[in-house]
Amino acid sequence: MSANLTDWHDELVLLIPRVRRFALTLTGSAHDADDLVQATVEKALVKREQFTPGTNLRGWLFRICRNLWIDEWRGPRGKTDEWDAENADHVQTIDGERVTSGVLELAEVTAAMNTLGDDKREVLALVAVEGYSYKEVSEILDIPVGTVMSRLARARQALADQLSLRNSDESRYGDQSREVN
Amino acid sequence: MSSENQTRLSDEELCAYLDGELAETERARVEARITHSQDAQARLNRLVGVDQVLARTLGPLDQEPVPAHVLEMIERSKQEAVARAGDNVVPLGGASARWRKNAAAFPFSGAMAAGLALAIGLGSGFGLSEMGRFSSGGDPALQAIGPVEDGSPLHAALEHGQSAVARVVSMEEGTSITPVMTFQTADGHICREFSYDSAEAQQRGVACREGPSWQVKFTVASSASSTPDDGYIPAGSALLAVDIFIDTLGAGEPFGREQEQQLISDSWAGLEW
Repeated sequence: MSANLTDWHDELVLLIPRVRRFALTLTGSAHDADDLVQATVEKALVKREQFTPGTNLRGWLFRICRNLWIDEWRGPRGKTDEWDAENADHVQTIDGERVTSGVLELAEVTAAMNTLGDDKREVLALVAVEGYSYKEVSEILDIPVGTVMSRLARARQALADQLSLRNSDESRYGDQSREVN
Repeated sequence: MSSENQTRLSDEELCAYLDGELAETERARVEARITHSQDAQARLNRLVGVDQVLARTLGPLDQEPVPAHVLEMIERSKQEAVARAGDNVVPLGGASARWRKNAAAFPFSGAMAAGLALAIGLGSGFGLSEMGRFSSGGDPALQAIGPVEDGSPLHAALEHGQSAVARVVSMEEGTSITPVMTFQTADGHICREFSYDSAEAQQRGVACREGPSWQVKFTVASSASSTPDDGYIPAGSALLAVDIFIDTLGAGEPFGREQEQQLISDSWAGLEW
């Protein structure tokens, strides 16, 4: 028994970095992401006995995380809009003084992701960053696979537009080996 | 399909190709069309570019250390759970829990697909005769598929018992019943997974609320000393079978404790979801 519980908690610990990455992608800010991760873990611990052993713990956590964000976090606080405005300025400031990719590029991509809207951003994050299959995403978000496909296609298009809008040399993004500037 | 060559590949098709989501014939068809279209190649490259940027920028974010206070929170919960385990929480599967954990390595789409096959193998859900082979096992203590008798220990557990809290049936025989979780099926029924444990065997099952009564829809029995012919199946397979059966019902996320408590207080009436 205790081995069973220990395993569950240990697996949870191992999954936290990925939950945090997902939270960062959803919220677009390290501060909000850390709050969201904490709330997700709190909820997971409270609901532990409702987790069905043998099912996908990571998917379960992502679902909790995403539902907290959509239902309790983003709505009442209206974070997304604030963040957008704030960050758009931020990106323009750093654009002129770009030194290397890395941190600056992250801020830029995060800002671009935040223009997508939650429904597209979460699908793109789950598929392109987290590596979930369409079927798994449909289960985590509780939407049909067809909806996953259409949102994903629109998200990739929109992000490609966003990134190329901010950068005249679009191919920079298609070729990792080449540094621009 | 005369229009096939004239129609531009959709963004959805290009994405599905990129994500490896197309079946083999479809994949070959799309690939052939990409090969012959500069437009499709350019559009695909653009999509690939997006993923590369995401992988390069957001990908490494899972390498950052876990906040210490989150780790402390988990560690505290772990200690508490282990301490409590001796008292009133019953293992969900005992020795087989380890097996279940291994099953967690399956992506859940795979588990669902495998599940469908196994569920059909077992007799596709509701009350086919093959199920009886697993459910009765020759042991009169085990619950058969069908209505749950009013006043029986199983009825009391389903009607009044909180999930994950064991209810002793017989001290002498060392038997107990534990509601495992409560969930709602795709067609709106409220069901509970339960576990009937004795020293020799464990029976897992699913009962659903139908009108004023509970109906056992599925059971499977397992024994530590399972042999192929005794009507029991290995514990791991038993748990998998229950999971699969629940999947076939289109079960939503299990109810939280508060919701479940509300259902119990309302005698499972007034379901308005």
